[in-house]
Amino acid sequence: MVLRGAQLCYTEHMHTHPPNYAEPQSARLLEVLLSWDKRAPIDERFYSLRYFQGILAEKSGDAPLAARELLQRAIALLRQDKAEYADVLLAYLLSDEKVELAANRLNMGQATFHRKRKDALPKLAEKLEQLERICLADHRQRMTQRLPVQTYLARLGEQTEIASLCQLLRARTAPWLVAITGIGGIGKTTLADVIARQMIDDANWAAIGWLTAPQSILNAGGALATDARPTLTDSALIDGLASQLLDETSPNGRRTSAESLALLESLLKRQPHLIVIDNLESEADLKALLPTLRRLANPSKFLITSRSSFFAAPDLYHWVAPQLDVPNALALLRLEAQVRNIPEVLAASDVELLPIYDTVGGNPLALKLVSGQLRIYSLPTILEDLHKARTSHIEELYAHIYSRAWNLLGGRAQSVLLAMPLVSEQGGTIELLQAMCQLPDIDLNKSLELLISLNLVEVRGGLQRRNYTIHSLTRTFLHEQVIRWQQVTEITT
Amino acid sequence: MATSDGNNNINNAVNSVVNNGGNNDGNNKGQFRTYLERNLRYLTQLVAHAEPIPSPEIRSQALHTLSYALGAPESWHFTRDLLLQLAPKMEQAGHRYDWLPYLQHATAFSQQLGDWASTAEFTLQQGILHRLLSEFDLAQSSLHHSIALCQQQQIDRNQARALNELAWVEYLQSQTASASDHVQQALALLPADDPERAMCYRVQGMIAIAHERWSEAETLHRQALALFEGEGDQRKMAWSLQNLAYALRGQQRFEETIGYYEQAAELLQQMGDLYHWSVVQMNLGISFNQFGKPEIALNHYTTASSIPYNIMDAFHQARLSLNIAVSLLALAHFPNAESKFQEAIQLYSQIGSKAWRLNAMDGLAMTYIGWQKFDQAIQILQQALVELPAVLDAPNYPYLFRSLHQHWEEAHKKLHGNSHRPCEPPRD
Repeated sequence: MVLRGAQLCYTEHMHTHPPNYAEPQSARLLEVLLSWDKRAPIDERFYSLRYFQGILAEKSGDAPLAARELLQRAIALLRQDKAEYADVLLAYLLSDEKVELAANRLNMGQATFHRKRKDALPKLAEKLEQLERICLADHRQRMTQRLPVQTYLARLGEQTEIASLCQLLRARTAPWLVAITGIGGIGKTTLADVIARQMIDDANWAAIGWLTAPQSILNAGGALATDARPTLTDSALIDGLASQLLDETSPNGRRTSAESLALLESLLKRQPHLIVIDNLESEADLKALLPTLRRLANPSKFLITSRSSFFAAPDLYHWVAPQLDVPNALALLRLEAQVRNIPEVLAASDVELLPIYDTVGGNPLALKLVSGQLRIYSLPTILEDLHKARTSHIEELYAHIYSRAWNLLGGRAQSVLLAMPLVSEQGGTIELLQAMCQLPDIDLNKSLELLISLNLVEVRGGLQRRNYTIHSLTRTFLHEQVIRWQQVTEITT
Repeated sequence: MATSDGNNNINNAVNSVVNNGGNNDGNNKGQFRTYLERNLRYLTQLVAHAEPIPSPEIRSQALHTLSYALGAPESWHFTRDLLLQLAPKMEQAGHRYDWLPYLQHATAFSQQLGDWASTAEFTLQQGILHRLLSEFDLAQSSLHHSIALCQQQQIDRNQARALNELAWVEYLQSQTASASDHVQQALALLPADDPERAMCYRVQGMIAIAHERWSEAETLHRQALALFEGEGDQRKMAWSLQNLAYALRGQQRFEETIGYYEQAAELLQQMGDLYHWSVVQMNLGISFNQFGKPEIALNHYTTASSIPYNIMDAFHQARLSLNIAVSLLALAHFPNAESKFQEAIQLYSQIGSKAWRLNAMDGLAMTYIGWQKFDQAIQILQQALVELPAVLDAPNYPYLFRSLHQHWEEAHKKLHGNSHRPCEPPRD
């Protein structure tokens, strides 16, 4: 009964608070402390503290017990600076002892007791704020570590569309399963990442989770694995979620998938979580996971990114990732030009750049690929070339753009790019590339620079260490090019 | 909307690019295979020199490369070399279910290619993984297969390795007679100076411990330790230190016991071998409990439980639950002790370890006796005594017989008073 009551309280209080865990002001907490009454219901401002929410979960939803624990911890922290303040506050806030008795026990007069109490309460409020800051910082770090490495410079686009999607997710009603769909390179993962990062501080969510479905496997013959099995299986989903969400709460014991699923269900039903499942490529992927997602959802929500739609599932809300509009598309071209130092593009007017948009549309990856080619070719040359392709389906356009890029490369850079599928999605070092390609350093470096400038290779990592990898669409193109060459060979022989 | 002419233009444009880039068409596949082989060779070197274990990035890259390589028969000898270097280190790093499919694939592939020596090695590695996952039947099956292949191929040393591993699984399942036989077979295959003999002594030492032949166990574990030290195998040295500590604990040499356990824990932590480090922490807990310090014991059990859940197998969890229960009982925390004993009983049932299950039931009965719930104690003991004959061959059978009967009498006396003569305990 207590737990149930606490769950209701949790839900109710969620609605009364601002959507984000704003930095707590010690002034607000001081108000709570000044009006503290041991017998009264717990002030709702405590519920806005993530630190308090954690203690509440530890105490199985017993709010008075959790509040008591919170104050004890803050007082223990205060004791390190001012032991006498701690003693006074313990007596005043947490003990049933009358003031005159407490003062006597502490060898002080009542007036002194009250004066110290008055001085101590602001200090205690500061300690509560300190605990909350530490908790928020820890929470942010843990949640951020679950997200993939941020690879985009900025997510351009209508902020209203991000806001509306966020509103949909925050609502305490269906849909519980939301899919961001769209073709490759439209920015689905980037959008999901932006949303996830925004939600980290959001009081609606106990935690954020992120799983990325692996891409289809290539074998060394160059053939893409074409079996219909989903790339993210049900058990991999459960194991992945369990390792992110369960290890922190129940570290003991090896569990079967069934046990993990039961624990996940209990956790996700008890506390709303936002889970992102990125890169489900096909309808088969979605179909395989839907039963488990349905079981785990409500009040938790799942945000899925996929190239496919699955309209057969009536409870799956489809949100089609829009292309960039003209201003944002041109802004992306200029941003790329700035990073890659293509002054001619920076200097170009909107009117000069607009035909690119007219041809490739507002697809971020396509725009990035074209901007890379602007280093090598003039705008009219590229436009003329793109003009031939402008009536084609966007994925045929990709093939065309990639083929064009391939042709720009020359032998050495082509050979480096051909090695890239053998680098893991997390990225490989220059030493690995060198071991494979066995080019003189200067040639490898030049090839890599060219590939990066053409947005065919992505750079990851930090200042001390760089890794190189390729976008999943580039990987697909390379796989199909290998197959295509193989097929061409077979036909001619 | 694309027109037919438009589509043809696209296809022509793409094909022209492909064909123009395709002067090397026939070479591209060959070039890709060359890259794959260089990638495999590079990773093999990285893995070989990575001590104690390869970094997560190297492991991730190795798995990615293998996903290509395990479909390329022409590159098999490079793939095999990487797999052989990688397998023990993946196990040490705590990979289990995520690594097992690669081993299974490697086994099937090597079989297809008729590389029986490699098949034998990969099935041995599978056996080790199954053992670490407490999947003892599957472990035995893989190990028997490995032994048969080694025998067929006349690879004596590897056959001895597989026999030692099988003996270890049998020891864990209290099949000590069978374990002894297999160790003897392994010893017969090994030259006098072969370091693999240390693994034989290790198993023999644990069998001795199971039969409480402490002094003999100490001698065997010291022999094993000396051989591992000679080889500079830090991980196995740590295992031996731990086993030696166990033998000394049985001889009540407590300070030496703690010292060796702590040395073992430090080495294992340096090796990144979290699983065996957790086992040492548990053993430290057992030692402190034996020394009459159950609170310190509980701290060590909590530490032991802190390893990632995916490397915590059911067998280890069962032992932890049991030992935690024993400490809780010593502290008279009866409700928590009851819960932990019940957990241990369930886990031992899950892994088919009958003798240890009965031991846990005995512990639960002791809890009920301490808690003065004598009828519940009698109920549990009744069940245990009916099941007891099934473990006649277990090394701890004499202890179980004695203890279960003793508690049965005690529970009856306390329930009915000292003057009451308890009825005969149930027999099968």
